[in-house]
Amino acid sequence: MLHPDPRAYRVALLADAVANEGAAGFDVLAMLDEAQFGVVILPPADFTVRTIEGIVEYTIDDLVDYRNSGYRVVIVGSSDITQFGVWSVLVDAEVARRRVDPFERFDVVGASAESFCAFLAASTPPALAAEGHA
Amino acid sequence: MESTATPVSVTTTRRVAFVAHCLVNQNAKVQEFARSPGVVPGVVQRLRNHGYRIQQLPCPEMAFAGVNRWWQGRELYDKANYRRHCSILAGNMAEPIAEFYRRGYEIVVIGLDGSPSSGVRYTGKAKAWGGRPHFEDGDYEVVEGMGVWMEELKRGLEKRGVPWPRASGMLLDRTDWDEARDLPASLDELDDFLAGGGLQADVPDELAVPATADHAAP
Repeated sequence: MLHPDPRAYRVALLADAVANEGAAGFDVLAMLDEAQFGVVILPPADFTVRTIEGIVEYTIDDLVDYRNSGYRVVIVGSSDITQFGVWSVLVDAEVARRRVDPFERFDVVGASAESFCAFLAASTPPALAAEGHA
Repeated sequence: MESTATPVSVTTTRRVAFVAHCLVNQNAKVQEFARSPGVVPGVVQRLRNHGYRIQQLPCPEMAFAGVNRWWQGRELYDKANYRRHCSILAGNMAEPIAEFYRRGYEIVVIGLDGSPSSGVRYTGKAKAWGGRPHFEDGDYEVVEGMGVWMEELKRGLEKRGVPWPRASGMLLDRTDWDEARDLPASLDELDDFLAGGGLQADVPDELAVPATADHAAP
């Protein structure tokens, strides 16, 4: 092996407004970083993006591939923002089209930093659990 | 996430950085090339310090061959079918990039230098790779030039009348990468680049429709 690979097998689809506009009352992106999640950010949900269907389709391709490969995949958004801030109508349609289980979701509305921390720590990615990591 | 004092740009201009996918999601890297558990340390803080909103480019390698793909150098990606794939992604991304221009944002692109796909200033060649996977030290050579994805993104934007933003990269894709030695200098270089701001441009409401695709084999 060239060198150890430190990836944590944790991926979050994160609403743009939560990442960039402080839509939660706490720094979600910093907490995801601290919890060793990589993030996937789609264009702002209030933008006119004529190609958004294609962008979401490829994104869900990736997220399903991660989950099938033992990664933990979550969606973090806000019910105060149109389409949960993540183009959820399209995301849900892509998930339904593939007939796969929905991804775990966390709504920052009414949440606290403590509850978000607990959500992030709630489970170990299967790829790591199989190797005996906590 | 680091909170140490780093240079801060004072600007009232709205800024957005379209970053290479893996700079904020190391899970997209081919195995053994991830440099950190999730987000590359320091990147988000530097972008925020300089007033940049964070947007993310897709990882064309992940979308093409999945998370368990083999290593590849630029030569193996420099094929018509991969360029066609990148061209589709570029067409998708032209719309949000154009919309940020329309809203008056300064835009930069931050690539992953050394990458066969996402390099802006440097890409990676591996002339000996092909067939049965095998790696020898020195096979992977970082050379000046763009990766295949960045070439197609630039071409895809320009074909639609969307100017190529000011662009640079972070040189993380080196086989001799050492975080303690190399990351501070890489972040300092990023700081210098970000302080220069991005490109602003007028973009029409309707993007140009590209002529027929030109994805002949290189």
